[in-house]
Amino acid sequence: MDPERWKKIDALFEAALTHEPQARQRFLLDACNGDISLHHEVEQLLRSFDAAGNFLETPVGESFGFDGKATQAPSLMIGQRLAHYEIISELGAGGMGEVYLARDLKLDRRVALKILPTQFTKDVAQVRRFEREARAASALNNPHIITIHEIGNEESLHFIATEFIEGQTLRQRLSNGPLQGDEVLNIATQISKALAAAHASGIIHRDIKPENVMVRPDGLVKVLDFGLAKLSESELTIPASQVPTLSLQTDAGMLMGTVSYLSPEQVQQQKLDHRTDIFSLGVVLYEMLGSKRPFTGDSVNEVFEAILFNDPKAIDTNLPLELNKVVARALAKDPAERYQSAEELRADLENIDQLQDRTQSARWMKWAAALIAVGLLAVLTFWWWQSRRPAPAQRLAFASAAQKLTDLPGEEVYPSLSPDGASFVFAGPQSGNWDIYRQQVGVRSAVNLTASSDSYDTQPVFSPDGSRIAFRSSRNGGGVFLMRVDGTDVLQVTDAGFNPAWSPDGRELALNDDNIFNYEARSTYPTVSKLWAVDVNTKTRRVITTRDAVQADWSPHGQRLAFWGEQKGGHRDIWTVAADGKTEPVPVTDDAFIDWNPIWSPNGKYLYFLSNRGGEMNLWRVAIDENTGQLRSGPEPATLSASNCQYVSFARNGKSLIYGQSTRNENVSQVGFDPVRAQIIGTSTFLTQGLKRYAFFSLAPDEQSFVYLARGEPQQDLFTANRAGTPLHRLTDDAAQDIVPRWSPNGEWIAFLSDRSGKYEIWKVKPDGSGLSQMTNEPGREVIAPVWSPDGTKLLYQIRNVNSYIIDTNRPGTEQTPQPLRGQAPAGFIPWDWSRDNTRLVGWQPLSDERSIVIYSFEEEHYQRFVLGFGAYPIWLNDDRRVLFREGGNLYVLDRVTGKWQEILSLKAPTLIGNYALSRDNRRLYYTSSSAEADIWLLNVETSGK
Amino acid sequence: MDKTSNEITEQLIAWSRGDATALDKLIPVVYQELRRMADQYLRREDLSHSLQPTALVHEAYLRLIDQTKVQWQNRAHFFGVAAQMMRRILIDHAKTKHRLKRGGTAIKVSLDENVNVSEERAAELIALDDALQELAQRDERKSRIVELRYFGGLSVDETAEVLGVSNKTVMRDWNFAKAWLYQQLTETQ
Repeated sequence: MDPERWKKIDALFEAALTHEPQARQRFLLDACNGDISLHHEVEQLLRSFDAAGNFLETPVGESFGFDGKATQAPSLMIGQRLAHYEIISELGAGGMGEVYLARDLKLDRRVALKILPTQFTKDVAQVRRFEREARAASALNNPHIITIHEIGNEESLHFIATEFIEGQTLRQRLSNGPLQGDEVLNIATQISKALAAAHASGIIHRDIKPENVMVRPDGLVKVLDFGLAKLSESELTIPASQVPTLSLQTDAGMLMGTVSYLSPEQVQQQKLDHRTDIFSLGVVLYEMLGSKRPFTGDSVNEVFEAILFNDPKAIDTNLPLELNKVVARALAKDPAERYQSAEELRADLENIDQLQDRTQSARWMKWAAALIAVGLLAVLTFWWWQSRRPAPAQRLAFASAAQKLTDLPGEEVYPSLSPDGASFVFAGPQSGNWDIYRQQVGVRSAVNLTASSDSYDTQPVFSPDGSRIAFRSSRNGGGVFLMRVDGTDVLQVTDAGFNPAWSPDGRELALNDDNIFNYEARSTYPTVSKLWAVDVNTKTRRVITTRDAVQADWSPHGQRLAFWGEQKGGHRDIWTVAADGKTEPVPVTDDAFIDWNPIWSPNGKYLYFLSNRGGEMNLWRVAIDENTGQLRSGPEPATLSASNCQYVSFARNGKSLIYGQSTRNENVSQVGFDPVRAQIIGTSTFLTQGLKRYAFFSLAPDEQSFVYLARGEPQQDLFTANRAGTPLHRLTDDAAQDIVPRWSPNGEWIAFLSDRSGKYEIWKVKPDGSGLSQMTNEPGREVIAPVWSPDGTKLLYQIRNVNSYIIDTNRPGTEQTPQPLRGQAPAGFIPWDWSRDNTRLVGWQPLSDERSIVIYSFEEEHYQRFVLGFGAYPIWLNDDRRVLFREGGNLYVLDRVTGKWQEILSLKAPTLIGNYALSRDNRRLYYTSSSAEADIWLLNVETSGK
Repeated sequence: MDKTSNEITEQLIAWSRGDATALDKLIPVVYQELRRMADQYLRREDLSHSLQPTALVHEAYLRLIDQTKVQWQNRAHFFGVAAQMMRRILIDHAKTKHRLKRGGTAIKVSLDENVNVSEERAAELIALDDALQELAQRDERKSRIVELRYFGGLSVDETAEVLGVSNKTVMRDWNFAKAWLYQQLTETQ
């Protein structure tokens, strides 16, 4: 290998290790700067590093090799004597030593004799501590705690002699097949009794697992090995001896068995109290009920991660709800959220037991009645928990019918209720520019708070005390501002940031870099938009998270922020992050559905969000821990009787919920164009009409048809349509996201971006829907912006934030050698159109602070920026000198020679221009324009449902 | 301490100070001693005693070096040399074992009685040795660090002393080497 490359890998590996595991991927993506194989190699190494665990950590011979039992206690022979014990047979061996059945020759009784591994008995003080605790537990004389007869040593062997219990360990019992429901309750109850007694004397077990629980044939349960975990404590949480040095896979299973029962605080090697045992008992209970362990993984690290971060899967849908709750509470990550005592847990288990008895007998009576009535013999054997149906899905309590609050033409968006819910603010374009309005609930007239400013004012939010409104404005260069509720005393807080969210104490505003209008705006060309906070008084800023994070909402007690962001494949998912930003965000959703607009319930126990997981965009929620972000439930619908919901938020008093409901359309228009003077001729006519949305319009060269994305339909797919918008062919029919279709200049193909392979790549399909194939093959990189060469033999695309590449369109995706463009592209550059004379590309920079139209010259290998401040989606005129571009509802033309630009078409707000194309002769212009109607609605909420 | 011991101690100190020729005199003596002791262990019939290579190295050190004249740094250097040898001895042994296992059953029985290296372990050890050689071609120091720590049982401090680098360097090389070796070994399995 090239030494330079080796060094690079080495350096990146080292640097990556300094990042939190969750942040490594992002770091690598940035650091590898598009070098895909480099990225891959370092990633592999990091994975190996994580998997390696204690591999090689113990020198050869101390546990490797020349004697497999080097670290184990020496085996005793049958008939051999140790002190006054005679070995009868071997009972088993575990990490903490071998166990023999022996006869106590003095008292002539059978005992279990456990030989402690020598590596745990070197430290005399530690052995003392263990002895003290083990004896103390034994002295409790609890029927569920094993009795210790003697702890001693002989010939440098440490041993423990305990009462011999005829029976099985719970591990053995589990391996014989599933336990009956009442058996589970019975065993768990007895273990909690043992723990309750021990805990009351200040003794913690630390190692509750099925191996340490004996079940007698008569059903009596005894817990073994109190205090034993103390012996290995100073080593590691996992006894080092149990970590095989050079055994890569086989032995890992054994070890994993033992780590599965550790509590989060054990994993983190924090100080332990009795609640660690409650967690471990929760794990045992879960395993008894579902025959599976709640926290699993392919490596110890994965198990650890699961213990720390994952919520276990639901055990069995037929399980009584109460029992599920008991398990969930025992398994709470935060000890403070768990049962605070084993006694409490025992009480709950016994209650379920009684409840079960009752329902069971009721059920029997019904059965008996049925049998008599029908005279049929049915299968009588059933598990008791099947006698109880799962509780019906909890109904969310939205009390009354929704009330429409606004009725203005165009869009009323970003509603925010005052803390008492009596009034609200919103933004709308009705005055001719975007302004902020305030209105009383129940009154149909709104006051324009920003009428005196002709700047773009939007995204208003009531402060928690109701005295001020934070909002985004384009005034003074743009930024976030404060004003009083009557619109006076406007004060600038920042010169950047969008979508302000107040901290509950009213001190800070959380802001994101990118301007979020809705979930769609970011679907095509996402940029990473970090989340940060500004102190409204001192104006000092701090970053909360550098991952893509927008539209934050502060939890009601201020601990966390929920936000949404984009990840792989353009997925829009929700996370929460600690308000101090010191820990990595915790995911709330992670799937292909569009999830956005997270809001906390006023009591902090639920996180509501908008999602299309039910088909239409509507409200969902999860139960959540406001402190940790750990989920307490999966998503459940909180359906509003509305379609296309947006901007949901609660009043601070929790009594009402405000939201927007929008209808949008995007239709195709045609208008004459003068290619010489670059002017519009005549007036536009609509080719399509109605409420459909012809998104990502791209025109066929013959102008007889176009391709579009059926935005707004539950399954968004690509279609071709004739000039009247009547669909001709469905090009895609699946759940994959297919966007940015672009018709090839020769009319044969339509290239588009699709995440059907798991990430966005460019695909092509014939206009009749046949011949679907992949054009690009860029694993691990983000492909955007397909651009055809004028003759259609080449295709250019962008790897986001890396470079543009050209491929040969006649070759399959797997046989490409992409040619990078030379020259340094301006940040975020997106190529969009190839000049007819093959000399230039035009594109734009979308970054909010560096907006520009950018022209690249193949010959000069140089990028030049024009029209600083705005512009997007530029296309060439036939003279290859001028380009059309859009901004909002306007079209402009730019002359690359003079650098001058002017407006040629302006649609009345709030109509926006979407995509556009010129006919081959440049005499006709086709464009889509979208308009939206959005109103604001209010719901009163029953207090119980939050 | 006899004359040989004094000489070896002198050579160790000289080498620790940077006298490379001292090493040439040191190696054969140490190797011979280690080999002798290892063989003794490997042939031992008492199963309750296991070969612990690092213990062996320590024993050799106690035998060969005059403890009153050396500092911990010298010891580290000694262990450094010994680690390399220990690796050779162990690998030779594993290879013999491996070969015999494959070769036939006749010798297998007698060998198994005396030496309890499992076939699997022997194969793993050989694989590790191969991977270490490959690592050495790319990055000598990383390979050496593994040798010192794994075969010599050296601590991070000692490894740093032997190689004349910082602890930090040892740790980062160690992390990398561990990941790389793990990858090599799991890939080939």
